[in-house]
Amino acid sequence: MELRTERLLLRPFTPDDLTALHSWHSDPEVVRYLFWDVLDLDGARDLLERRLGRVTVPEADGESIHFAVRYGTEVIGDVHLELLSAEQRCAEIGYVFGGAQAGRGFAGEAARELLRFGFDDLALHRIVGKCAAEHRASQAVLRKIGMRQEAHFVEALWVKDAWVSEQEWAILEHEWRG
Amino acid sequence: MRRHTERLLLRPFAEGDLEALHSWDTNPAVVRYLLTGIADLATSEQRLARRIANTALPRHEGERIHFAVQLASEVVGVRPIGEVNLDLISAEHSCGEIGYVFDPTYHGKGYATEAARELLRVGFDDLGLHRITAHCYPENHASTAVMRRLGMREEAHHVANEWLKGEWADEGVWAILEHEWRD
Repeated sequence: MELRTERLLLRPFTPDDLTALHSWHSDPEVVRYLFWDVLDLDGARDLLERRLGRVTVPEADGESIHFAVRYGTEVIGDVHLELLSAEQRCAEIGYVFGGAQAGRGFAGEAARELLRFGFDDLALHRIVGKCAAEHRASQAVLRKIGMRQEAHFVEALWVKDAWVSEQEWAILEHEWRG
Repeated sequence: MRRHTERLLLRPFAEGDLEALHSWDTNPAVVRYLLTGIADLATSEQRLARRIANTALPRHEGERIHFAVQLASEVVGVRPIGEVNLDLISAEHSCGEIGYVFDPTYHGKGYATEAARELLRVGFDDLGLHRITAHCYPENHASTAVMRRLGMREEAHHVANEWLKGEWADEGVWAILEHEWRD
């Protein structure tokens, strides 16, 4: 399945996306706030393999759909929506973008489309986004797409040999429509 | 395992606690802020069986220890005035969670705080946890007052994140870190 925005195409990953995926995930600045460290080519291949299997609408708790984000002829990012609870109609969105196109609003544009997809197409009630408390760029995206900060969990995660604080942001369907 | 505080004894649940547990399970003022609704006797029996089975310190994710809380001045095994539990939420992130339910007859005497404070000690001292959280409905002011007295911090107010008994409910998350607790 594919989604379109003004400047972007969100489409399933293909085997040809390995170079792009590896280019971001070998950049220390990009992976700094992720749960894993820089990936070598084999690591990126494993990651891509998982992306290739996640291309259908999530129906069970914990399932996710991933999209490669294409701008022009270039694949510049990876966004996903994970169904947290079918019963509570709640999902989480996430995004990783390469550093080369940073600052042009692409993450916000793609994330906004994920909200539309979640609320309009999947009839969700609530969508959340999580990020490291130190990750200002990511918070700016969550704020820009209309989310409210609901949580600041202090030293909640042990990641890459350090305690990390985590923020959680959220938006409800009626807030999104309002 | 048993734990003593100044006024309370935290002890394992026993078969004889069914009447007390069922009285809470059928008390609208008690279940109001719980995920569960009013329970019939068979449901209370199942809940008691789980409590009797979970009497060891949680060493693996998802495990829970239950304590029946009774007055320390009375004979061991007397009717409990409440219950507390400690869950291991994540071994990787060294995080536990506490919960408590008390008989309204005994509200307002600081028993919940006293018992929960002992649970923090179990979590930080016995289990070596880094972080302990507690969840509650933000409008449950009696419960949030307990967490505040324990030195916990309100870290989250989730809006309409839980469909509960026919309506969307908010949820609060409170937390305290091991070094904050020791200070």
